[in-house]
Amino acid sequence: MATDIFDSSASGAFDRSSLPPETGALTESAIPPIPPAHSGTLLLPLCLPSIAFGMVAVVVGTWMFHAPSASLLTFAGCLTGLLTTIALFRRQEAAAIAVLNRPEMRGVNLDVTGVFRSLLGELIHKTELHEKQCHDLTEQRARLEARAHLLKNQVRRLAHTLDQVEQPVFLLDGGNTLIFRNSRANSLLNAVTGTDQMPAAAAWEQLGSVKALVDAVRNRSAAADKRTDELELKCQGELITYRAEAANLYDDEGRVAGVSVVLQDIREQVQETAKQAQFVSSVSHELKTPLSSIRAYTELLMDDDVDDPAERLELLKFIDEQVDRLTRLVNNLLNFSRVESGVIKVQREDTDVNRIARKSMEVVASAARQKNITFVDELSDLYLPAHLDLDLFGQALINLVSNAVKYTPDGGEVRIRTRMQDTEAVIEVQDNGMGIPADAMPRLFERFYRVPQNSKAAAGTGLGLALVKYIVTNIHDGSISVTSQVDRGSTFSIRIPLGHRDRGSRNPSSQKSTR
Amino acid sequence: MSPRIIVCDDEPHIVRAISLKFARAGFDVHGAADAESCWELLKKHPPALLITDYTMPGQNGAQLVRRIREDQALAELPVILLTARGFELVEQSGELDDLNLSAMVTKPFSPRELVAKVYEILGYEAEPSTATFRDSFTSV
Repeated sequence: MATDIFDSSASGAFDRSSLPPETGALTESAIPPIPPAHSGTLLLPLCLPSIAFGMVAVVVGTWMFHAPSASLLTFAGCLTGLLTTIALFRRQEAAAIAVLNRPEMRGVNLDVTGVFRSLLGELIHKTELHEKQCHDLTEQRARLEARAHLLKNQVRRLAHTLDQVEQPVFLLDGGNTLIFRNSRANSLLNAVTGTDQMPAAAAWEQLGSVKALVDAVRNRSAAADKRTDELELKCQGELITYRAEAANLYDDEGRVAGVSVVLQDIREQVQETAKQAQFVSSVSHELKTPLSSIRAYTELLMDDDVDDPAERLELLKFIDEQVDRLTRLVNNLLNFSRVESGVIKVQREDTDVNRIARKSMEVVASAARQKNITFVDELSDLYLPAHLDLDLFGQALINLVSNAVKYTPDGGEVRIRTRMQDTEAVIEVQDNGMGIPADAMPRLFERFYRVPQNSKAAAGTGLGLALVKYIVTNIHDGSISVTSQVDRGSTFSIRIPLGHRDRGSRNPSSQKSTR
Repeated sequence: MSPRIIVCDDEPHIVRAISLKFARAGFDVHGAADAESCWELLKKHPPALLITDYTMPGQNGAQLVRRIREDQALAELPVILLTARGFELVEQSGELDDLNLSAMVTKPFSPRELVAKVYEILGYEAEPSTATFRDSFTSV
């Protein structure tokens, strides 16, 4: 579920309130029309004093000139003229208002507007100016709204894209406020705080080391506006190592407008590096042990420190054996890397599983005899057809049987069992040796991993079982499982598909593993 | 009486090679295969010097030396730590800091150089050649 980019707890660039509303565009209809003329209200203040003044003039004229009829006649004439003028004005006023309200009439002859003509001209000019401004603003607003809509969509798409990113991503604004986090970052905050109820800003405050990194990058010069650090965060009780990269974000004027933080879980890398170091260390130990004896004995023989000829011969024999041991070790290492890197060509052929099982027992027989370990052969009487690479699959079985011998005390017992089960051939190697502790089980087939409790019992590089698993699962489409009890012993079970394939190595499944 | 040296290593051939070389150089050499049997030997026959491996089943070499340093009678015993691990040990910061080791020798090693080192530690002036050494001791 994507985190809402418009975080309720955030403010700034992504805050919804800072974006314009989507509706409410300004239109021409918003300009109020000029109201129709009301000549009564317009002309009454003009008429009433005129009539009153006329009536006073009639009374005064009658009194002064003793000619009431002439005065009345003059008054009547004046009144008629006044009323005619008023009617004319009303018409001109109505025409002027009509012209103002209806833009299409503005171009026609304005003579009908009489005395209002010059006033109207001025008004039309102003109105048109105003209307043009309104129109421009409306257009501008529409453009901005479209752009805002586009940007919002882009931001949503970006947020959605960031949600698909495996790494937690945080964005902070110029004021150090958390304005965005992707869904991974959200999960991280929940894991660190142990709750999904805490507001993001408060949860962010708990990422002390990340905040310190943000402060460090914020105070940096533009030339070094990025900073990477490895830090540990406690997530649900587990300490996880992250590589954190913080980078300054700039606005158009080149000012720091925010900081982005990307975290990467590097647990696996750290483990892999540690495993490689452990591998190099254990390989060098395995190589140095025989080398030490060889070097010491050789020097003794050179210095003539050994008088007894029989003892001299014994030392020489031992040196010879150690050279063999070193050769085996180096070969194992090379084999593993060659099988895994696909340098060795896989050549599968139709064969009987029992045949390979028997051969691998023969190879390990002398080591078993040395430790007085009994081999119990419980091979199936049936012919178990399978399509296998004899060398590689044989090597896998030899590794299992030889492990069983190595980790079983003297006088113990190793059973090799084969059987048919449904469409699979099952090969089991069972011992009654020291067993494998439960906590080591999940890592048992990892490269370079050695069971700490058992590693002293026998020499090894932690490659044997990894190679077995690779050969069984990757090359032979099979599976391997193990059950074990400490001090009781272990049982390794390999399952591979039954059946011959006449097409041999041309078979696609065979080709698949031949890289 | 020849000075006594104890060699502790789980690899019997290393014990054997060192024993051969040091016996030839006139030392009385005792071997042990692990820290526990070495401790018993140390208590029973306190030596002039101990050569011990680092990686051993049970207690490792460093733990053995720590035990020695905490023991009143053995606290000052010169110890050479023999190890197939080299630089990794140094990386394990602190483990060897307070052990007061006389020397650290990395495997594979030269028995000849080991004898020379023991000479140096024990303060023998003589050349580390068998003959001279024998003479110096017969004269004591």
